[in-house]
Amino acid sequence: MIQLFHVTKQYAGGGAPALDDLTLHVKKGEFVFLTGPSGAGKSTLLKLLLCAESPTSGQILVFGRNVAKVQGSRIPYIRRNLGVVFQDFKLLSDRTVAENVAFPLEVRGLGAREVRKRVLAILRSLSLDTKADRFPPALSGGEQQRVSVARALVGDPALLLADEPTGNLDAERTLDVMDLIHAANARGTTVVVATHDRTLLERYRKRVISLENGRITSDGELSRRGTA
Amino acid sequence: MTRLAYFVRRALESMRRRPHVTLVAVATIWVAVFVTGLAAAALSAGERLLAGFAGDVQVAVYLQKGADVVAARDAARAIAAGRKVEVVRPADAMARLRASLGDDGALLEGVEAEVLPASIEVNAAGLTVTQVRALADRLKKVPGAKDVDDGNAWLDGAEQLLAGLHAAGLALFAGLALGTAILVSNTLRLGVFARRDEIEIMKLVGATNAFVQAPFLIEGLLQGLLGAILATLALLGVRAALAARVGALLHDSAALSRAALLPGRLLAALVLGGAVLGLLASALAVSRHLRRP
Repeated sequence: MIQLFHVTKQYAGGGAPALDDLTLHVKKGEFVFLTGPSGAGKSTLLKLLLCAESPTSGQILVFGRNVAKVQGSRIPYIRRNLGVVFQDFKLLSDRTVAENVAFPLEVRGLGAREVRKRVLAILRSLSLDTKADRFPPALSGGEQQRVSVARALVGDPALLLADEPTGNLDAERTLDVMDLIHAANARGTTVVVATHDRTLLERYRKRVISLENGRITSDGELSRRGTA
Repeated sequence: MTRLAYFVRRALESMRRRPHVTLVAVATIWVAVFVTGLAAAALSAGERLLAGFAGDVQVAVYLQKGADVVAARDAARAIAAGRKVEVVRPADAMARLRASLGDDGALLEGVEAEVLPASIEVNAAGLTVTQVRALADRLKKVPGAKDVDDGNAWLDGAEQLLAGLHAAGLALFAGLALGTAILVSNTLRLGVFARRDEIEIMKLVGATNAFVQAPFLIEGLLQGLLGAILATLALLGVRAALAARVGALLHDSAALSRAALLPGRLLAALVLGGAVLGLLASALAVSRHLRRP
């Protein structure tokens, strides 16, 4: 599903590379946590997978396509197989919750009835159905986070990239969101979650890739390694 | 819902959500179309005025000495079918000359009428300058013709001036269109800038550039159409007011008619031009936000 070969990302302006000669492989249907301190390279890695950035060197294969060399006009079609939860939510403040969640489906050209059905279903599963007509600024940070998760999952993506998806949630809502992501994984979605939250790593006992200074410092299940 | 209906709905929503940006864009296009229409109507009126002057003249075919006047007249009648053709013999010409000199006509005492050539006069009423010239050219073939005077020599300068104004009008229109495109583009760019997050998010969830662009283009098209339609209505209003106030004072009562000043083709071109202007300006405004992956 995801293969990185000696990937380096150096931003303009010099300094240490955000990612430094990274090589890793994520299998189809796998659930992977990316962890590490701020500035470790987690968000950069997710941006590369999303084709929002290009690597300075190295190759990145997503769904068998080399996204480092893919034509700009093909990027949207790759992204349609992705669901993304952004750290800053990236919700449109002048659109209702339902309209925000409907966006990826409208982009794919689904009919209005189908869009409405799917949006309501995902909002219901995240206890957001009563807020469908609200605008994001009227929601709490946690609710906005869940809307962002709903938007990422509404299209049943083959790959889910989530950047701190539970960062603004209380313990109960964290479990709701993670259960939903887990359920998507059980249906076959490959999941990559970047998180600081150690309790998540301990609770779900999935593969954990630790990054530091743009390099992988450890890779494996938490229970086997004992630490992350 | 078809894709087009979806895009149109999105464009209308956007216009409703940002009424100020819409108002400024429509007003900018309104000004451009109104000024252009005004310039076109003024040029059209100038041409009509010039044609009116030309319509009062006669074309004179001066004959060589000894030419067969009757044969020349018949040939002229054949060339200018349906028009009044008159023979002016030397004696008639001398009489006219005397009359035109008034009290100084006495100076012509002792001058024989034969010094003046016989001529054939063809009435050119209702013809434009160009048509009069064409008729004069054809009359050169009259047997015995020595010279043909289209009587419009003085109009040459005016015609050249009008041609210059025509070129200036076209240059003005081109400049105005370019300036307005930039102005409208900058106006629409404000709207696009306000929606840059939306564009980014649309792209991140898999929207193609065409999908992102379509509502913006439709929005520009609608704003252009609206501005242009309002401008043409204003032009029609100005013409009607002008005709009501000064129409009766004019010799040519049809000069201020809608068909003369703002013909249907011009109105259609103005509306179409406004719509295209809005479309292009919008395309220009949104294109820079589509470059990023």
